[in-house]
Amino acid sequence: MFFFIICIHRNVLADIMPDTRYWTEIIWCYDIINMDDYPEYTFLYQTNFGGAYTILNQENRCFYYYKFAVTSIYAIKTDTLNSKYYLPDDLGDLHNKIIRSDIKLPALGGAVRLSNPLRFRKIELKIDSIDEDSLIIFRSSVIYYYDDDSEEILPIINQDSIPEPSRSYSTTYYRERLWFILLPIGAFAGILVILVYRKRNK
Amino acid sequence: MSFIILYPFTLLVTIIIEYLIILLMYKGRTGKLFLYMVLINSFTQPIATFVFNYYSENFYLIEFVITITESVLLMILLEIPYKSALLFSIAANLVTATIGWFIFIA
Repeated sequence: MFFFIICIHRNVLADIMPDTRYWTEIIWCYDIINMDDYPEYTFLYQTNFGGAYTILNQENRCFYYYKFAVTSIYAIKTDTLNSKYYLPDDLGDLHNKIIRSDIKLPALGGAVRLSNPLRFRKIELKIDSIDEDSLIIFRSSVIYYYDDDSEEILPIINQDSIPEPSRSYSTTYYRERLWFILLPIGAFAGILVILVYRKRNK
Repeated sequence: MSFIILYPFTLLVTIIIEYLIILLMYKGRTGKLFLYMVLINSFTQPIATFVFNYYSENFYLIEFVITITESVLLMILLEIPYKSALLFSIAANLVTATIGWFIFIA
């Protein structure tokens, strides 16, 4: 048996990348759900790695970024921009007109075992207030989407912790375990019963 | 095809085919032979499927281990010499493995 295990064991388990036969990556994004209530403002985000500000709009409202980054949200009066879709490479004077929020959004990336039905995680953000000097945004809810197309919406009460999904194993997982564990055990028990019965009758 | 249908279906097909192959060579009671084939395959096939799905895709090695395991169980249950049991097991598994290889791998 030991030889058998040695022969079939795969070296790829030692790789840093999750083995896609066992793991699947979780898709994720943040979404500012009431952005449309503030048409006079354009919303932007920038990661802590620096680089360009990215404009959030209808086509780009569910946003995600590099897995080790932390993002901040900003707003700027739309009438100060030449385009609703593009920012100038050099912000120049616009830099001083950006309204900063305090919220820091860590990336939500990660992988789960294939037995876990979670496939997509979205955190909804809500703008509480905005004026010339401050932008207040909070995490409103988290939505978990599962592999059977069902979804679970959980309100975020405490801004420091995101509620965990309630489902961690798919029903298929349990059914498979019944097949792979109980059936062979039952069959082996049947074989033992026959042998014991036969021995007693000899 | 979902696993709820696929696994029991493949197990049933395997039991029937292996039973018919061994029936061609075995001279004993056919009813008992069928019961033994149900028990032996219900023991080996889920384990083989699990190893193939989650642990290794080394089809030939898995089939080799299954053939040896089934030959030992056939020897014990049918109370026949090991050479005969091995022959039965090789013949039965050669057929089912070939079918399985064409359906699921090729």
